[in-house]
Amino acid sequence: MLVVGQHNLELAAVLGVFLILPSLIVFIFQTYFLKDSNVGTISGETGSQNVPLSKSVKAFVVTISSMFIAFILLMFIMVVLGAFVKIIGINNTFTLEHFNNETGWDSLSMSLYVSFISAILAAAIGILQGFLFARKPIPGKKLFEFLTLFGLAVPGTVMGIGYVLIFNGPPFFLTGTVMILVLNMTFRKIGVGMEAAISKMHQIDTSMEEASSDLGAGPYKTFWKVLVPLMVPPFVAGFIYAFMTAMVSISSVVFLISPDTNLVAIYILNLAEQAKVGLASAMSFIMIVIVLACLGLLKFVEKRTGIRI
Amino acid sequence: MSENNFLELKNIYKYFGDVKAVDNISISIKRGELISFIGPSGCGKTTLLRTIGGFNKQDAGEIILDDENIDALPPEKRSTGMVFQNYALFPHMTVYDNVAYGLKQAKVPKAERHDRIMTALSQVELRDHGKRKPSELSGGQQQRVAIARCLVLEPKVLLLDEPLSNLDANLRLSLREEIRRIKEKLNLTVIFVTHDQEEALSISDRIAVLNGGVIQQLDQADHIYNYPSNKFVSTFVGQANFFTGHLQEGKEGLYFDTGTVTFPVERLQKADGEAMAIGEKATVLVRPERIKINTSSPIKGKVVNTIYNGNFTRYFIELEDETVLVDAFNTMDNKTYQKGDVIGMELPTSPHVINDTVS
Ligand SMILES: Nc1ncnc2c1ncn2[C@@H]1O[C@H](COP(=O)(O)OP(=O)(O)OP(=O)(O)O)[C@@H](O)[C@H]1O
Ligand SMILES: [Mg+2]
Repeated sequence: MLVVGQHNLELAAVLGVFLILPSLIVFIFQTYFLKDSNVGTISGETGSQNVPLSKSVKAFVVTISSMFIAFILLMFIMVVLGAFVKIIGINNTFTLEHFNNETGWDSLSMSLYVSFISAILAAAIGILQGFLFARKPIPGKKLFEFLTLFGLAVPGTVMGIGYVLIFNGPPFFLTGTVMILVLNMTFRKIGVGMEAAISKMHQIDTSMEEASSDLGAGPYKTFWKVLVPLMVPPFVAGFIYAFMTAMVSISSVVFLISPDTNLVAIYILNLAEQAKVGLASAMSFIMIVIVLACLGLLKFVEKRTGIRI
Repeated sequence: MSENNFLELKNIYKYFGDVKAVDNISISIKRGELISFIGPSGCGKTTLLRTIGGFNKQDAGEIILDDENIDALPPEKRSTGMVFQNYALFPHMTVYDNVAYGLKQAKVPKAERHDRIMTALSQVELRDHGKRKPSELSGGQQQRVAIARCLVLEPKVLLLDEPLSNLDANLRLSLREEIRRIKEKLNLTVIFVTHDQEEALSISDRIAVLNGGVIQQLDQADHIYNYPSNKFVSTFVGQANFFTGHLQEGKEGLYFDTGTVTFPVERLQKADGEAMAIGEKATVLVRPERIKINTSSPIKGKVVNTIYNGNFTRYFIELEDETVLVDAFNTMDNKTYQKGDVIGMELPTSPHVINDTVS
């Protein structure tokens, strides 16, 4: 985009607004219209009947999906091969040399570090926010909820430019620091923890808190002994999700990094641009392993606790 | 003094917006007494119970517990124990830890704590279930954990909000007796909310019948049944036949004249205790089992329906424009009747005069 190539912040910001519009529309549509229409189909029984597909349609759909799956698998295979051979397609001897890349490991550990911190913060703030929204009468909480969720929907590029505009000068000169990366990722993902917490809080009847106070625990004790333990599953699920998406996010942080705070996702992009396919594949391979592990963990937690992210 | 007025509610009011959920309720409860609140849905039973437990604050009135005004105290400072309708057990704690929770808050030393938990669990016959999670218990067992969790703190009053409503019929019966037994053993003061009149009649020392946030009657079970104060109580607890008419005096003594039927009566007493005057109009209540089937009675009616209930049969008998219910015990010796039979009915000579007139 314009920012990276030409350093034209103002124009980029204007373009960013246009980027927001479609996602805003989709977002509003999802939050307010889809929810209602879902309820409608549940009560209107006949609407949700599964119509059996005809044989030819079925064959068509299966072929198309198989092609997609094959394509995706092929990409993974290429990445793995590319990571472990000298020059893929030219010199296919096995090697680990692509993993011997200090800048790569540095950027990976920076990514892990930033993602870990911001995922913890995002999950914790989100859970707290969800708890407050579900239990306390807070003026304007609908708006807060909307804004928080909007953080998820807004295109990363737009958010990134926003951060550059705000933090590129006094009083908050943060561009290029770890702090700004953490801030950006945290605020982008709070919505996940919040939604998980709100849905969990709706499962916990208020009588749970009342029982606790009836048994002699004040509000503080009740919060720590009853609510916090019950909030662990949504916290864990929110954390894993936030961590995983933070690890792979590019667009919102691409303007915020500096040579000292390079992130692995962006570093891979740079490697690819410089046609260093072997190095890029090796780092990508590590990323795939991390993301798959997170995904598996997340599914496990979801299955065990009934939390949905 | 404090034995008879152990828990005193004085002119309690509670509003939710325009809804008067509790409307000037006053009750004095003895130590060791079990009082039931019954009434239709939305009559304010839960609201009143929650007000006593401190979960909502009354808009007016005072609550005195054991000579102490507890109005200003939050739930955790009141010595009341509440068993919630959904039990509200902590799902992440074992049965043992659920019961231990209150004692930990009270900073009871560990050794004593353990003894008290085991005693409480024994009282509800769950000694061997301490290590389980609530999700591994049946509904009846969960309910008993909820009771044990309160009992272990030795509350001055135990508040139960429809504790048996989620359970099947047999379990309800046995737990009802269990609650009664524990209450007798520990001399507990208990308030029991239910909308099941039979449950209330069988478990309570006294029953408060509520409607629209107002106490309609507060009395012993048999008084509520035999001498209900008004039409609402008559119909909410048990089945009722009403006869509205005038008290008259003839050659053979007093009789009650509804305009369509007459039957001999003794002196009738009104709810305020005064004797009914000759010529005065009133409504009397006659329970279905108090009407005897007697072929020689001049009051004749046609059987329009019958319901067989095992130990008794309920006859629906058309008498002029009204349908009268008559319950007859099935002893196998007495005669039974079919739809279409015409039978004679003998009305009791001492029907109960209610407060309001039923036209
Ligand atoms: N938190 C609340 N906010 C507003 N109105 C309430 C609230 N709680 C109760 N009410 C109203 O107060 C009245 C009494 O309610 P309450 O729950 O005490 O009835 P109940 O006798 O327990 O009924 P049920 O047998 O259905 O449990 C009802 O009209 C109810 O709608
Ligand atoms: Mg209720």
